Amino acid sequence: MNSTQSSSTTPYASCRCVLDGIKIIDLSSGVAGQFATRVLGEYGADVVLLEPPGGCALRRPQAIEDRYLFWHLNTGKKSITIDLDSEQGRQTLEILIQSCDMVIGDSTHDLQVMCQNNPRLIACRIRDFSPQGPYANWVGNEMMHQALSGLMYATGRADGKPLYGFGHRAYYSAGAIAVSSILGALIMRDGNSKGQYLEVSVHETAVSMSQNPVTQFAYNATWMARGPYPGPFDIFQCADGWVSMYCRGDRWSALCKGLGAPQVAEHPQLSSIDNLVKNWSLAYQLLQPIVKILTVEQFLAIIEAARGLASRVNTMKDVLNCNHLARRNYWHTLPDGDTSKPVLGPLFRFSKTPRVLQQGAPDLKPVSMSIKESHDN
Amino acid sequence: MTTNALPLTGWRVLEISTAWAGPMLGRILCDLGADVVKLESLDSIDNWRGAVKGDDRKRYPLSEPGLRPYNRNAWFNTQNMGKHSVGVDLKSPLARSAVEELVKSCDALICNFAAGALKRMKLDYAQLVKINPKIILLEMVVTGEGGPLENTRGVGPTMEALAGMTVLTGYGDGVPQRTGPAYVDPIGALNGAMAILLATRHRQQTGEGQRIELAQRESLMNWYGERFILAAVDGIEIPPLGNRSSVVAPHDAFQTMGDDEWIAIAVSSETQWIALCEVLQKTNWIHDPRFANAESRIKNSDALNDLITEVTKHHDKLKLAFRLQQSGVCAAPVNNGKDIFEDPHLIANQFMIDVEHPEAGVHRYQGLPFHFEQPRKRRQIPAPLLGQHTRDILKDWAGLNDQTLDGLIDSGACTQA
Repeated sequence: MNSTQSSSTTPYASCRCVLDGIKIIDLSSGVAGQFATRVLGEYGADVVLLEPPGGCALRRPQAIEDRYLFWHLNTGKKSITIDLDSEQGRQTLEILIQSCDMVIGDSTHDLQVMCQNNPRLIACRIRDFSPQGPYANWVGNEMMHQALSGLMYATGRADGKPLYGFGHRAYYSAGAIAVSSILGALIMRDGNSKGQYLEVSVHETAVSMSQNPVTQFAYNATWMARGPYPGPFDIFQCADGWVSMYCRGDRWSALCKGLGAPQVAEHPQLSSIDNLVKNWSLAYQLLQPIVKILTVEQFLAIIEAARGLASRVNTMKDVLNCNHLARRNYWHTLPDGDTSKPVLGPLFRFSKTPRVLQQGAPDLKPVSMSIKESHDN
Repeated sequence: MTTNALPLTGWRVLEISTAWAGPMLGRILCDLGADVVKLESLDSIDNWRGAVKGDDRKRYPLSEPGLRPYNRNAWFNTQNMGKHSVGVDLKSPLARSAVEELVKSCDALICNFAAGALKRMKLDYAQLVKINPKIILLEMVVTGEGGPLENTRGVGPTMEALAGMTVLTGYGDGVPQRTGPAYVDPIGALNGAMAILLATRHRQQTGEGQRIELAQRESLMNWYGERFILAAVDGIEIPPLGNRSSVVAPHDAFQTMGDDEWIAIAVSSETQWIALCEVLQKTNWIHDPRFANAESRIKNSDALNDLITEVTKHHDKLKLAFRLQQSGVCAAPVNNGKDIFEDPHLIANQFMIDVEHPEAGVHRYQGLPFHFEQPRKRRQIPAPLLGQHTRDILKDWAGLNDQTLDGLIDSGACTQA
């Protein structure tokens, strides 16, 4: 990221937001819950992350790739530290719940009891697996959810093992489902003054995002396997990088011509769309040596001329330096102690519903200070 | 709002969409209670209805496209459940007044056509607010307005490459791998649902409609935002490691009994490691110095993975996953379509639903993960035939009479299934 990209810090901070006045207690320790409350906070909700003594585990990631995960998930929140194993801690939580609108949890806290004590409360429990059924007590993680959802089976080379991908994408997605569930419950509460208890399953979320495997099997007993998509739809290596491309079947001849290889489109095994789908690996073998001596920009220009679609396979640095994102003021910075850190742009841009970015992720506070603050509030 | 109402009960949504992201958003809005009408035509057909004369046979019941393949496509019929379909040529001047009446009567319009498409149809926000000042418009585009890439068109795999996601998946050999199914699409749908609900509450509070721009690349980037921050702050880009973890081992997929059958196993503690050895009846591994702790197991991953595979390849993946999970080890079968269709947990939770479609028959469909407290029967309305509800919706929503409808249908501006 360059200096021009880290310009904006507090857009819309003074405007009235759609969730102004909504108080949320975040009891979650994982990605899904903390992402959900970050999003709700960005639209005006007052979010308090309730952490155990020593702080939540995401503050201490083992993996380098998660070094800034806590920061990414918790910008804009307040934090208080409470020992829920102590009587005083439990009483403090009860007091907090009485005056809040929403609570989100992903562990053993009994959110249903909290709803009984505060009928306007919207409580959302995020679980790896729904509590009925044979997986109820299973341990989940990102790879497990991608394995169960079908995404993993379909990702990777046909001759390689299935790949789950990376990161925490199933959990982010469950966080998004939690946001929509909570907003839905809030809209209902606006009408009937009643809160409700919600459940979100990471497993169900991941399956709902798979590419119709249940229906495809139900329709004709087939399923999607690994390997390239059929047809002119693949990743090619160029002299200076990789390109992911797609070209409609009726543009196949134009693409080959643009590459100076019209004979490939006329190859008897590749000359119709049916044959091309069936024999795509042959087409790939014939085209890759031609593409490999082109630069990414040259190949992109050829695909564009053939009215195909393509992109360079961007690295993180490529994206950070993308002029388009800079022009859209995508990157922001927020203070973090004596320094500052980047913050990503919004998930979506409203013309009239402002997003708030006021502060970075919260520092961890000692229990005593937290108890005093929560009673004062 | 009635007792059994859902969040969007009574809301009317128009959908101009194709493929996955837009249609899945429309399906979610149906699940949240909205009445969703898809505006479509044979000339500008939803990609997931497939080619008018049929294409990949793996998408049709019994692999048979039938007379109207576009009504029998498994992919379309999944992501469009619960909707109505109005067959209308949005570019026809003859249909303009009917379309404007629909716009006047709706609360929101969602679209995932290419950037600029709505403007060409004279249905961009500036036009829409003249017809319906309180409308909410959600446009799902690739890159968004206001920069050199604003007219970028894309499909899932090109958007993922543009967003820096593709480079994060691979076997560790330097070759980037796409997500098999285009993950950016359902992520776009989930983002669209959050946006519509926020805008709905905003309208209920203020009376204002608005335009929402959802640049799918930008929202996707948030799903791994920590990696961008790592690169920006510390200049670190971590190449893919296949399924392996940088901090624990084993963490991978292992072959099981059968053709292309696999189990995923992730050991995150020494307790789990011992349990794995015990379940696999290889307690001698516990004392093997190569596998003494996570660090040494990572260092010796190749040897460890080979040893584990020698055992797992004689087991059924689901049965072994149950045994491992019972012992506290994180494990799961790597499911293909058949496995998900038969998933005992999803069946026990009624996550999947059997629905009768008039031209495709009775089949099982995957559900959506929303669970509101209010009792309700999960919506079991099939995806619409192309133009199935043209007359009904143009009468109910747009207030057209039979004579006008006959004229529109006779002229070809509208079609009724």
